[in-house]
Parts: sequence; structure tokens; C-alpha cells
Amino acid sequence: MQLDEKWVVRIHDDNVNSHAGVALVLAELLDLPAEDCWAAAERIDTTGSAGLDPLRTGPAEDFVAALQVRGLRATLEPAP
Amino acid sequence: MTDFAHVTAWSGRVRIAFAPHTASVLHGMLSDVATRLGGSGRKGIADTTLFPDAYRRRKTSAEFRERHGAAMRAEVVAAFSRTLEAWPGGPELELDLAGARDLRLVLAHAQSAYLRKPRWEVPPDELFSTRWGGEIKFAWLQALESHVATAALSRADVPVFLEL
Repeated sequence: MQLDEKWVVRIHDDNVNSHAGVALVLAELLDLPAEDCWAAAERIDTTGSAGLDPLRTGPAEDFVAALQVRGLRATLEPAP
Repeated sequence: MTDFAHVTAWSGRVRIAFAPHTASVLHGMLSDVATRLGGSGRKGIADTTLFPDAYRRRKTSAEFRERHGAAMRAEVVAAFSRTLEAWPGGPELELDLAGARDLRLVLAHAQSAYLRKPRWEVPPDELFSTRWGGEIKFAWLQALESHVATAALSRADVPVFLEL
């Protein structure tokens, strides 16, 4: 794994986190207005997942860790 | 015996009023999970139960857990500690936004103690096929997580009242 590689952080839909729970986590970590976070949670539920803009390895891993600490299913995949 | 939780939000604060029995059972559940997070063996809760694989490959995911797992678990444990310190188990609980975020995190992770599979792997038709007959406890954790998050997301000038 190269430190300058770029990774997409993907947040997945699951059967246990509520829409509101996902929206609250996104509001905290992305500092977005509540309306945008509700829309993003809806999009994750509808499409199964949402990918964020690519990040370098360190920040991407830190962000996935923060999402997982808050109970979300988040993964890393190589940026296209 | 009547169980209830009334979740209200106003002026940036989240307030929960519990039936005494509800408060007692829920506080006991959260205390039990907090203890199990610090334990090992059959009653402990493994990192692989708390946190999904971060990468597609199992080996890379294990390396991720080696780098981040201890700090991630410490954050979860700290949220449980702060929540239980703020709420000794009484029928009323008032939280600021940070406290509400902690409580939502705690309610989400506590579900792991009652499910037969990691939370993110449970299909909808198995959600209420829980360990040790914990269906009702799991349902309360899930519903309260949603209500607390909804209340925490509400605008400060719009009162919210949610009932369980």
C-alpha cells in the first residue's frame, strides 16, 4: 500500500442503522446542513452505498475509522 | 408494567423521559455492554464484531485493525463511559448535542450484544432472531437510536416530540 495512493471512502446501507443515525453521523463528520445529511442518508438507503471524494491513504483510513466508530459500515476502495 | 421513552428536542437540547422500568432495564443493558467491551473471551465483544472489514481483502483489513482497532475501541468505550456518567439510570436525561451523539453511538453499538451476526451482516428477516431472546431489547435500542438521532438533528427553533 502506497501512502500517496488515493482511496474512495464508501458508506454502505445496512439493516440496523436508521436514516436519522446515518444523517447525524454525516452532519458531525462532514459538517453539512441537516437537510443535506438527510438527503445523503436517503441516497445511501436507495442506492446501497455512497462514495466520497478520493483521499490519500492516511486521511481515508482515519475517516473510515471515524465512521466505523460511530457504527456505520464504511470501507475503502482504490480510486478509479 | 408500562414501558415508554419520550424524546423531545428544544433549543439544542435533547431530553428523554423514561418509565422507571424502561430506565432501569436500558441502563442495565448499556452497563453490561460497557463491561463486555472491556472484557475478553466468550462474553467479550471482538473488534471484528464491532467494526466491519475496511478493505475488500481480509489481510489488508486485519492490518487496518492493527493500526486503528485499539484507538477505535477506546473511542467507543469512552462514549459509553460519558453516557453512563451523564445518566445514572434515572427516569430523566438531558443532553447537549455532543451527549446526544454519544448516546446514539452507544445505542448503535449496544445492538451488537444481542445479534447473532455482526450488525452490518444481519439480513432484515433475521433482525429479530437475537441471542438469548433479546428481541425486545434489540428493538428498543434500534428505535431509540433513531429517535435520539432525529431529535439531535432537529432545528433549535422547532420543538420535536417523539414517543416509544
